[in-house]
Parts: sequence; structure tokens; C-alpha cells
Amino acid sequence: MKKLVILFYLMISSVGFAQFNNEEYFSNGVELYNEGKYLEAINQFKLIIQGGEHSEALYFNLGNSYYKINDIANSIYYYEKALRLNPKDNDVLNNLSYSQNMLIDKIELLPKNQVSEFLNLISNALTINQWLFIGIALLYLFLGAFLSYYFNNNTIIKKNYFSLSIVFFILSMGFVFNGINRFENEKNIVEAIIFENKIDFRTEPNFRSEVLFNLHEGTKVTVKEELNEWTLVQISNGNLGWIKAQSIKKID
Amino acid sequence: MKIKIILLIFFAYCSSVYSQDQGVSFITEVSKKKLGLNENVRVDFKMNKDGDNFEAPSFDGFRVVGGPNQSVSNMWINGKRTFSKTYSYFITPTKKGSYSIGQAKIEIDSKIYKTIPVKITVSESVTINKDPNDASYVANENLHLVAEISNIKPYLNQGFSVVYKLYFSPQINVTNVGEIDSPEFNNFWSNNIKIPRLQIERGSYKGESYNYVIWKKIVLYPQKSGRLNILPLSLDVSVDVPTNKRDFFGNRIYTQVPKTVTAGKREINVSDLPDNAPENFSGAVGEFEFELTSTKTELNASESLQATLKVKGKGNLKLFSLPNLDVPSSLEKYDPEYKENVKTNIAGMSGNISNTYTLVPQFKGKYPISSVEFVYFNPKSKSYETIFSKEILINVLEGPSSYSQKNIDLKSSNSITNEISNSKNEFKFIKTKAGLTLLNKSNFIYSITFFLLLLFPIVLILLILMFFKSKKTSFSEIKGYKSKRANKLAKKYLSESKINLENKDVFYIALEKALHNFLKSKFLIETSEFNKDKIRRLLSEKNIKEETTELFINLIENCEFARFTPASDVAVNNDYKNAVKAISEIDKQI
Repeated sequence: MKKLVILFYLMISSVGFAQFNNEEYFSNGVELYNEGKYLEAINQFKLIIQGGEHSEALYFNLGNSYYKINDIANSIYYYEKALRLNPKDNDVLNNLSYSQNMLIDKIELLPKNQVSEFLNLISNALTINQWLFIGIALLYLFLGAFLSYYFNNNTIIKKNYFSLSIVFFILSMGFVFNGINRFENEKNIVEAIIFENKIDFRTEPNFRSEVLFNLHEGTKVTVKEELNEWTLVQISNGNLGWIKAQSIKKID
Repeated sequence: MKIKIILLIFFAYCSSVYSQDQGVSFITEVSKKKLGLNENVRVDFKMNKDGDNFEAPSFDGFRVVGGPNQSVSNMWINGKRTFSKTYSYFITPTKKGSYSIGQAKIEIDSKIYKTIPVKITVSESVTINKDPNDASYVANENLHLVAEISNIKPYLNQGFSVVYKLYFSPQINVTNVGEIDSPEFNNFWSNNIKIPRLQIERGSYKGESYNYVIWKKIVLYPQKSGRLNILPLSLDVSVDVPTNKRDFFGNRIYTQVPKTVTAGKREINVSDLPDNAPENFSGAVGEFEFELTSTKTELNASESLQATLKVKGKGNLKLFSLPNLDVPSSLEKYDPEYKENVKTNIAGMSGNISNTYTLVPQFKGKYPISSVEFVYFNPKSKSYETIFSKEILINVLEGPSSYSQKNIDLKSSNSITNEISNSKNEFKFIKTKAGLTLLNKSNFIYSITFFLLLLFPIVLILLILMFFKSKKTSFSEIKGYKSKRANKLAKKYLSESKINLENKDVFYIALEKALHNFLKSKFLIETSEFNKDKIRRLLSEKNIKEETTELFINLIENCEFARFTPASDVAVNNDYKNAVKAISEIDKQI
């Protein structure tokens, strides 16, 4: 019965009689996925993005659908997009690890500095917006404490409120600046996924130059520079190389 | 002079005697000293004692067509040993003229012996004696060595065969065949196909029926493009030629003629493969089939499976490498086991070669092994052909997931979580709650709201500070005015006493009066009620500071004392100042 309904919906939508709203596309996609019609599910999910909406769940579902049809690059690409919206989602991280199993390349990560690792851990404990909201909330607490200090005649109470207001102010600035700092850092990091089956990394942005190494589809790289149709990218072990811009897709 | 000549003769004699004692002879023998340009000559270097380091002369004006052949004979006749060792060459002149065959060297008993040069005259080509009764002529006409090359324009790495056939007409018999010169195959990969037993077969040579023997079969794969030479093969053959003579029983008598036959030098024109070679071309030329197989497609983690890449067909199987198998890095891949099952026959190499990889998956999940590309050149279609193996999907059903493994690595202390997280870390189903938001939702950071929220408290505080600062200054202005007025008042009250600073009696009376007047005007109290206790109570009621009150009371006491006791000028001045201070203080504090 449900199938019929969906079929009917699909027919209507394909004819273009009724504009579906995005929630309906989403539930259709879920149904189709559950029936194993992954390609059709992908179409439904993509219509939502065309409709100008997105969500972590949407990207997760796209990643799953692509995993099911063994499209490594697309699946990793959408999981990474989901992580952009929520970097701590266990489901996404879990399924991403399944996709990463299919990767042909294994890149050793650079050893990290323990101090910076610790600082990163703190900085990544909250999202940027959480940092900012808490910072602003603290600023209002500072305002309250300062006003209490200013309009109070009792010396002892005045003293307490003054120190409290200073503490609030420092904390507030710390939170806000950490949020801004994270935002600025992340703005400069453009990550991308390799979509080509096998790609040569070259020393220069042309085909005459030497091939340094090659990687396969689905590997995540960081975009460093761009020149015409070429992109200088860095892989996670720190190696750099030029590749054609069309063979990667940026995660934005 | 005479003595010198005698000595010379003597030494010459001695040395000749010495060499005669040793009995060493080393000579050059040629089969003929005059020959035509188209004839061969045999040169033998004979010695009667075994020597080492034989060095042949350079045969200027000749080309060596056979040799060197070594023969040694050792005979005992009547207890006397005759030894002879011969190096023989077959040479053919390249030009007309007179040439000499230079000195050959040999080392016998650590002495070097040289031969005497021999002159040979080369004249015009002679027409070979066509006398059918001449055995050598008959042998020549009826014996041919032919190299049959299956393809003289092969591609690089395309196999072809060379078959050497010795044709001989049924009239003659071939008895003793020996290889003088084996051909060399530089720039070829060659494989000699063994001929277990020479078999005489019937065939035709230039339209006449002949017997032939396949002497040698070789399969060659050129390794270099361009014009390549196959050096000639020379055979030394003993030919039995029938003569017209008959023996007692009426059978023909055969004469034996030694003969050298050569299959001439052949040139092979190896053409390069076309330029448009695909990227993964590894040099395979021929006709092949290619497949990727796997022993299992479903298994548990840490079990193993074998994936085999196999190339089957005809071509230069031993001369190219198999393509690599790319597998996901989370599959443990061991070095492949290479197997070769190739037979080489006259048509070239055929069979199969394979690489078997052992793969061990580590984690649960699916592992697609993408199709492998095998490119070869097909000389028949003269084009590159590509075979894609089919893709294999390996399903690992049971085992740890890589995500739980990561988590375990992080909190390695907690090994109990392993079991639990295994069941938790299945591949998750999709999410059913959309939670959609606008795609182009602008960031909160740097938005107007963000700046407003951030700036509002700070601006508010600044405004408050500014507003109250101005209010405070006006307060302090009022205060200043008040104190001025208080001072004025005090001075007014004390003006009389100030005039009488010189006369202390009058001063104190005036001071006391002034203080009383001040209190009266300030607190509206009657003079009758005027005593120290009441003043103290009054002042403390009005929140006047203790010390000010004390100062005021002191002044009043001083006034009372002064009426009865003499006081110094200093005390008078002091009291005046205190009075001004007390009045103005009280006035301020009210």
C-alpha cells in the first residue's frame, strides 16, 4: 500500500502537479532507502538541497545511501558535510568509519603536539555558536554585577560585586574570542574529497611536471592554493601536491 | 769482425738445435693458395705440442665464415707418440688481391711460438665447376640450409619462430652434421625448442622434391625495435656423393665430401608498438584473457581469502608484469604468490600466469575490490586492448568495527567496553527525523544581532558611568557652596570675638556668646536650656561626628575656664581656629 502511495506521489511530482515540501521528500527518501532503492532515495534527498534546506540528518542519509551503492567518495563527502553541522554525532562517525574501510589509501597521521592537542580538545568541546552564546550570556552577568556594584552604598557588598563583575568580564571575553578564533581558523581550512578513481599528485600545476605520488577516491585533502584549473592540496601526513581542481569536491 | 760473425753463427746453431730438441712445430696450412672471390679457404694452425693462449691472426681481406674449430689427435705408433692439435678456420675473401695470413701465436711451455705468414692470391670469381661428376659440385647443388622465419616484420615483443631446415636431395646422403657456428640472438628473448631426434621428412625445395631435417627451432621475442640481425648458422656436413664407379657387387661407390653450409644472415625489422599506449600498459603483446577471482566473498574478520589475478592466453607471458591489485587499506594484503604455467612451442609462449594475494580483513563492513585493468597489444588487430576484471565485493559479517576500535584505542584502559561497543557499532540506519534548516542560514558570528548583543552591555555601562559622573559633580558643587556658607556664618558669629583677640576676657565672652547663638540659630534651642550634656545629646541626635562634638564641648569648657584663669595668647588663637573649624564642621554635617 505504502509503495503505491509513494509511487503515486512520485508520479505526481514527476509530472509536476504538486510541489512537494521538503519534509515529504525526506520521508519518501527514508521509505525508498528502507526498500533498498538507494538511487531513488538519493534523488529524493537531493531535491531537498535543491529546495534550499539541509540538515545533519539529510547529509547522513545521503552518506548512507551512497555507502549502500558502494560510492565511496560521495558517501564520505556527505558524512563529512554532516559532521560540519554536528562534529560529535556518533552515528555519523560510526558509519563514516565503515566508509573509510573501503578507502584504498592509508595515510599515516602526523604526530600531534600534546599541548596543542589538549587545547584543541577544549576548543572543540563546544560549537562556535555555543562559545559565542555563553560568552554573551556572561557579558550580561557582568553587566548585572557591575550595576550592582555601582549603585550599592555598602562597601563590602560593593567590593564583592566589583570582583565578580571583573571575573564575568574576563570569562565572557575568553569565550567570545575563542569562538571567533575557531571561526577564523575554520574559515581558512577548506577541505575536499577526491572524486577521481586514481589521481596523480604533481610538483607543479601542469602535466609536464613530475608525479609525486597518487591517491584514490574518497581521501580527504586540505586545499592550500588554487591556480587556474589546478589546486595545491595537502594530505593528512603533511605532503603537498598539485591536482586538477575538477577531481576534488570541496566540503563547504 | 770475424769473431762477431762466428759468434752469431754459433748462437743461431745453438737455438736451432734447442728447438729441434723440443721438436716443437707450429705451422699454418691453407687448403689452397689461389682462389676465386666466391670460394672458401680453410686455414689450419697446426702444432705438435699442446699449448695455451692461442691467438689467431687478423684475417685482413677475409671474413671468417666458420671456426675456430679445434681438433686434437694423439697417436702411438711403434711406441712413438704423435700429437697434433689444429685450430681451423673457414674464411672467404672479401676483395680481389694478394693477402697474407698473419702470424698466429701460441704459448708452449711458457715460450711463445709464431707461424710464418702465408700468402694467398684472390682472383676473379671462378665459375664453379659444373661437372656433374665432381663430387664437391654435386654436394653443393644438393645440400641447402634454410632459415624459415615466421614473421620478418614483428612488433616489439611479438613472438616469432626461426626454423633451420637442412634440405638434401634424395641422391646424396648426409652422415655427420656438426654445428660450427651457433647463431647469436642479441636483443631477443630466445627459447630453443629441443628436438629430441632428428627426423627425415619429405618436402620440396624450389619445386624439387627433397628430404629435409629440422635442425633447430627457436622462438624469439624482440626486445628492441629497429633492424635487428640474426647471425648465421653454419653447419659442417659430411656428404656422401655417389660416383659413377661401382664396386664388385655392382653397387655404387660413394665418395665423402666435407661441406660447410651456411644459412645467411637475416635481418628482422622490428616495428615499435603504436604511440598511443594506455597508461597501464606493461608490455604484454599477444592475445590474452584476464580475470580476477576470489575464493570467498563472505567471511568473518581475521579470516583470510585468496584473490587471484590471472592472465591466460598466447603472447610474451614471461616478459611482462601483472597489474597490481589495489585493495582497501583496511584489508591486510600480503605479497602475492606468483605462479607461471607457460609452455613454449613453435607458436610462442602460451599458458597462464597468476598472482595470488592473501587478504585478511580487520573490521566488519564491506570491501569493494575495484576492477583491475589489464592492457595488452594485440598484433592481430594492431591495437591496444583493455580488459577490466569484474568488481568483487567482500562482505565481512562478524568482527569489530573500526569505529569501536578507534574508541578503544582512545580509552585503552577500559577493555570491557569492547564487547558492548561491538554490538553498538553496527552500520547505523538512516535518520528518520529531518530537522531541516535553511541552507543559506547566515552565521550568527559577525551578524548584526551578534554585534548588538555584544556591544549593548558595554555601551550601557559607559552611558551609566557618564550620566552619574555629571550628577556627582553637581553634588559636590552643592557641597562646596554649603561649606562656604558655613565658614561665612562662623566668621559672622566669630567676628566680634576676632576683634577682641588681644583682650582675652572680652574674647572668651564673645566666643561663648557666638557659640550659643550658633546653636540657637541652627537647632532652635533656648539659652536657658543650654548645658554641656544637652548639647552633646543634641549633636549626637543630629548625627554629628563624636570628635566634632568633643571639639565643640571643649570650646565651651575653655570659655568657662577663661573667665577664672589667665590664658596665654597662643591658647586664644588656638581656640579661635577651633571655633571656626567646629562651626563649619557642624554646619557641613547637618
